Amino acid sequence: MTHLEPAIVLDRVSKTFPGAARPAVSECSLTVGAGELVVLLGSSGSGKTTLLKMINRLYEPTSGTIYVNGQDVRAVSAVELRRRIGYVIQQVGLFPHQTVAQNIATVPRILGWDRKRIEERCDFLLELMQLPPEQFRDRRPRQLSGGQQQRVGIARALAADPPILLMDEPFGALDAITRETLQDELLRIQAQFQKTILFVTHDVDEALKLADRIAVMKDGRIEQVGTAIELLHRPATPFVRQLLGADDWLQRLSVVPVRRAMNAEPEVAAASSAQPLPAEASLRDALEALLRSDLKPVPIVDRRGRRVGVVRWEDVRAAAGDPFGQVVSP
Amino acid sequence: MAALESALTYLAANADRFWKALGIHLELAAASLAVAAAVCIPLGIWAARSPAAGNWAMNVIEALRVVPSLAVLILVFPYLGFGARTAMVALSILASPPILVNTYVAYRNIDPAVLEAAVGMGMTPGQILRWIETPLAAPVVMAGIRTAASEVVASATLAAFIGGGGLGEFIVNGLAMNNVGLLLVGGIPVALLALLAEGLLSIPEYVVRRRIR
Repeated sequence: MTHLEPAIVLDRVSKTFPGAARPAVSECSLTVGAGELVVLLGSSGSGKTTLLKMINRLYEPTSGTIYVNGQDVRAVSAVELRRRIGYVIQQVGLFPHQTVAQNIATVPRILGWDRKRIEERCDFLLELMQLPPEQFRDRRPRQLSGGQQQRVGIARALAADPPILLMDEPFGALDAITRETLQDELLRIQAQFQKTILFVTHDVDEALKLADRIAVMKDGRIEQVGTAIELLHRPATPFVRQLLGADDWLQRLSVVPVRRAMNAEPEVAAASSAQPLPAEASLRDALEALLRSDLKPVPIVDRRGRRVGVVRWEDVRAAAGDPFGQVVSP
Repeated sequence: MAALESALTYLAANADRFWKALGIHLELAAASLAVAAAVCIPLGIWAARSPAAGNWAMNVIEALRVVPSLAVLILVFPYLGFGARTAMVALSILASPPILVNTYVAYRNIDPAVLEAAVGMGMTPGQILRWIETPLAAPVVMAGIRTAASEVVASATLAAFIGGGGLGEFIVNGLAMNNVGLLLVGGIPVALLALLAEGLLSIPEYVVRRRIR
């Protein structure tokens, strides 16, 4: 992702908590490009949350340096830094004594926006999160479902339009259906506003679905960084292979979006006679479509129905880690 | 019934004395409560920030609560002598434990996720204290003040023993003169005041609690 401006740079960052025998995070380096969605994936105790919390200085690194938009995070006060970085946590942490609107207004209010601008921003964000403002603005957090609460949590994090969003297992406490819906909405918002997002999860399917790139963490170290397809295809360590379940490739294909393997070739797409697939479809859907079209390139359409690219047999086979070897070669 | 009648007769004849005593009684109680709140609320917040020391201190205070009000008065008396000032010190000490303990508990029990969100969004410690912690802790702190208030209103009676004035004077005199009527002139209003304090102070508490839920 070298073509992107780096938004977050971690340079050999380590963290040892006082009294701990071994570091929670050790020598982690990672660059997150502007507008990129990177997932820190690992089991509990892998150091992923600790690493995330060092970016907005909830924890201070023992060694190493963190840059946000080219600036060492220690160069500004922690409070100022945090106002420029959206932060979303699993337990949401809405302020129970405030209305939804007051919750969302938190950072704009601190920044001294005038009332009208705050109100407009608030309604805009509620609409963005599919919560009709006139219905939700004056509600209290306890009157919301878990999914609605996290929608407000995300709206609150986006309130002052920060370029960067840190999300710590934001959908971990939600039921499967709500989680999927919110994942889709996050991708929609990401596409619309090009936020830089660093997203922590232990859920492999979630990582494969959301991430532009995934950083797999284990015992405080980053084991491998790469796209979902790279990790499935070329796991760097046995741990990565095992974690991603690269052996169960058909299962994995069903959670990787087809747009990750798509070739941006509109002309080929326009010429194709095969049934088109939406960009959100999985690689497994693509595999099915390919089989149905006799392995002819399948066109991919975006939300507005435009043919934006094609997926070919080779792409799916590469993504699956070439499970058929040389046996099948069309 | 005869005692009640004689109480009313006394009251009718000595209305001035009664109102003055009531005034002193309320003043004494209110001032002691204000001093206790002014000292104990900040102290409780501070204790909540250092859990190890806080827990230890709260245990000691809880243990000290069993010391009866009269004992506190008697203990302070040798140092400060007669008068309302001594009574106020003693009553302030009496009012402290419920306020201190409730404040401590209220600020300790704020949802850590709420605080993490507040810190993560870039609120300063002062903003978090004013906008988040204090509104959330308010009902429990106010419950502590309410408990302290009814205790202080009742215990202010004892001020009369050391010449502090108040409704206790009637009780002390009534006891000395073996006059049940006079006893009631002090006793009944004190009982009513304690109930009233409990009742009146639960109104703002209820309002704040409703706002939070």
